[in-house]
Amino acid sequence: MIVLPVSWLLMPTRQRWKLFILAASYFFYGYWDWRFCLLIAGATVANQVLATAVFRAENERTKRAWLIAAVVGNLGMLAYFKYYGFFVSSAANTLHQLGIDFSPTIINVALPVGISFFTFQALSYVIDTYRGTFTPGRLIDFAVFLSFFPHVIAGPIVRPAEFIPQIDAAHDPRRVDASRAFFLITIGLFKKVVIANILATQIVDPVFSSPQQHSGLEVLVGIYAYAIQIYADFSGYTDIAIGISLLLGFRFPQNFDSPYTATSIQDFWRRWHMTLSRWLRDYLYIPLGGNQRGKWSTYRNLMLTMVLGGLWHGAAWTFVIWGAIHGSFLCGEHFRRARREAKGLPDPVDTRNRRIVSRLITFNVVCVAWVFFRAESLENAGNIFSQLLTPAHWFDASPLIGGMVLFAIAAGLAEQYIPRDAWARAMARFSHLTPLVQGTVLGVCLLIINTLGPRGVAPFIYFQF
Amino acid sequence: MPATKKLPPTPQHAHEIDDPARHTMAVGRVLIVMVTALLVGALLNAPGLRKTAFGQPLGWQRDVAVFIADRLNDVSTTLLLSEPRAGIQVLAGRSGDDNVDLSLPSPTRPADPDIVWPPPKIAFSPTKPMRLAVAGDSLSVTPGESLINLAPGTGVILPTGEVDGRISTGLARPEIFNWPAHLNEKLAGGGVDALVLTLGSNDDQALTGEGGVGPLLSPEWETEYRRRVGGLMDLVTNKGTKLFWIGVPFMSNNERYDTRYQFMNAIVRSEAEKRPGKVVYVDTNPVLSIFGGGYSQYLPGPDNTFVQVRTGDGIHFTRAGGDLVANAVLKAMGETFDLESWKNPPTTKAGSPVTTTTTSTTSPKPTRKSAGKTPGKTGKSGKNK
Repeated sequence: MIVLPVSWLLMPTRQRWKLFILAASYFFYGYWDWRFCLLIAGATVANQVLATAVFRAENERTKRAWLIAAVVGNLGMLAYFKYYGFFVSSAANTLHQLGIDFSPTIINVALPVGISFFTFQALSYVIDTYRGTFTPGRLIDFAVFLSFFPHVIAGPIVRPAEFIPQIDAAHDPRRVDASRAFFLITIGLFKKVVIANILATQIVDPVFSSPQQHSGLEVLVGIYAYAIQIYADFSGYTDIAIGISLLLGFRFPQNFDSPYTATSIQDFWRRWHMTLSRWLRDYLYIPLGGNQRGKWSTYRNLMLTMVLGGLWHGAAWTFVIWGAIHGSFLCGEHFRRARREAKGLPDPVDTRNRRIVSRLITFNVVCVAWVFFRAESLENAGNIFSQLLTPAHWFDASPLIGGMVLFAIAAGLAEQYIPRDAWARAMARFSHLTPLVQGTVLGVCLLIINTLGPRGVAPFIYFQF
Repeated sequence: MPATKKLPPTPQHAHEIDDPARHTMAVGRVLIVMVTALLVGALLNAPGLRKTAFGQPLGWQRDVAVFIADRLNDVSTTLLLSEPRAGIQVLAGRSGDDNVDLSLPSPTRPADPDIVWPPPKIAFSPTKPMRLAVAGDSLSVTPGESLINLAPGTGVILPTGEVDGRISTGLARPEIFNWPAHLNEKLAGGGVDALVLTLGSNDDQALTGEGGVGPLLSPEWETEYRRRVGGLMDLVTNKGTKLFWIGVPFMSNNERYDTRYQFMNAIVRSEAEKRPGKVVYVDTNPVLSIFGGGYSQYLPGPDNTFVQVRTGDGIHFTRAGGDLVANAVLKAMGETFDLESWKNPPTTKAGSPVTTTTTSTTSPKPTRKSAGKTPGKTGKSGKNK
């Protein structure tokens, strides 16, 4: 209620607007811990200096040296804050198993929120400059890009070429795309506060914390519920971020496109966390060689990209396995497609039944991988599968599968199967209502969200990454 | 991951997808939408807002919020605008969510001059298992889950449900969550032999509700907090449930621990000592520290490997940390109850409870001297060496 009106007031004077939105973003980010502001400010200045050095370098060698410095610096910072404890304790444990007593002093490193997101965006800035697809601009523009509060914590991961030109573009306070913004924010709140929180508190957390205390049926529903929870949580955040950005006059790229309607794992990655997927594709998979250097090289690149994508989420073997499962299935799909092409066979006919079966298989593969993503440890994941696969436990009492849980799962799935044009029509109809009616409709939505959502909203899952 | 030959389409801008003509609007109209939505939403959610206002951190902002929320609630109730919310709560099975209960019980048990020591140990067996409940603030969750996971391995401990963990709650602010009222209801039907409770980490603030006083750690505050702790202990134990109260563990914020939680732990410990055989204070710091004391995020785990026991916030537990706490609680239970004799059946009638008088080593031996001492003076509850 303060940032938006002041932002609109300053819209015509871009310099003042930039200073204001930068201050608001730092205030927002520093709310967690003011020291994090120093970190993001340091990262901003360092990357601006490096990008400018890359841009001004007179020969390829110097350019490349500056680029390497930027990549090492950014990844080094990420490794220190995110992976220090994991690497040191893993090294100590490995050495211990080899009979070498190594007891390192492990310092407590606080993980700055959103570090994985803003580090990747900073890398984009320098790499795009190196590739010549972007020209670094003023420091304040880059600072606004990196710290812009709607996306600094959990994305979407925006490219500099998508965002920075919008900063200086004309923003007309008489033409705010507010109806769409409110629509998205309301949908996002419903997904997070109602669907994700009901599933988290009523089934997912109990099942994953104590799988052996629950029936096989509860464990199965708990796994499906987690798939819906993480989608509702993350896509809900993204909807809210996109909505707030629209109110500030900015357009963000789409991050989700009904991922559980995917008919293959490759299709899933075109629909799930799309901005991370394209970042990994453009800055990791393709530089590794993509699929241009033979089939084994392609499989290696796919596996590496997905395993590193898993590690990006957190320093744990469970994330590595999650990435490896996705990588393996991508390799498998690639292998099948290549074999079909080699035999000169046509693509399979796209029938309704085939689509249903493909969706079911894809969804279940994704759910198996989600078990590792959510599990606290490999042992925990093993316990979940063990409980699931023990027939004796299947028909134990299942008190967690209640009406609200089934409602939340159904709502989370239905949201993805509603045709796009139906969403678009609803949004258009909403935008044609008078402001008073729009406000009343939104007020009623707030009633439903506030009343159905469990008291005490848990943080967004992706805040920890 | 998509192949380079056939790249997926670059994600479109959100507003461009299936984008039929929509009305944009001027900021004045945007403000009208926002204000209307907030006003309608506030009136329809007034009872919930009132509860939220009561739960704000103490200070003038809370006073203002409570004043406005009270007026809003009056209007909403008068115009029957709160009815839809009540109806949805009934449908969702959450009636009474908006109630604000400020009552807090006082201790009901006078100091017992004839303390029986050691207290009798109740025996449990697989046919008569010890029914366990776990509750408390956010620090109860991970250790509670560990305890529930470890319980079946004992053969005699039967968890009665999930961990009843309530984030940001304690005894300081009953308007946020009233633990005595909740436990009174939860334990009403009996059926719980042992309750493991973790409270205190959110209580380092002025006390509100019945008997509320401030400032934090003043003599008046100590008296009132002691009353609340003792009252809750009696409420639980009067229902035939043994209470295992886990003290607030070391935190990365040493100053906060040393100046506040150490003092509060001493209150809980001394109140537990007044109720021998009924309340056991479980000090988990010895198992959560290394080299004689203090906070530690990593500890040598099984096989001397390094394991992370506390999360990055310096407060909560990882699974490994939860397991350590759970094992400490199980040890205390083993010293309080007879959980082993069923393995070597005595000659008594099978299945009937057997009372023994084995000495407990975890529960501190009560003495008249220690009862009622102020925590700052006991000198017994500092960092455990």
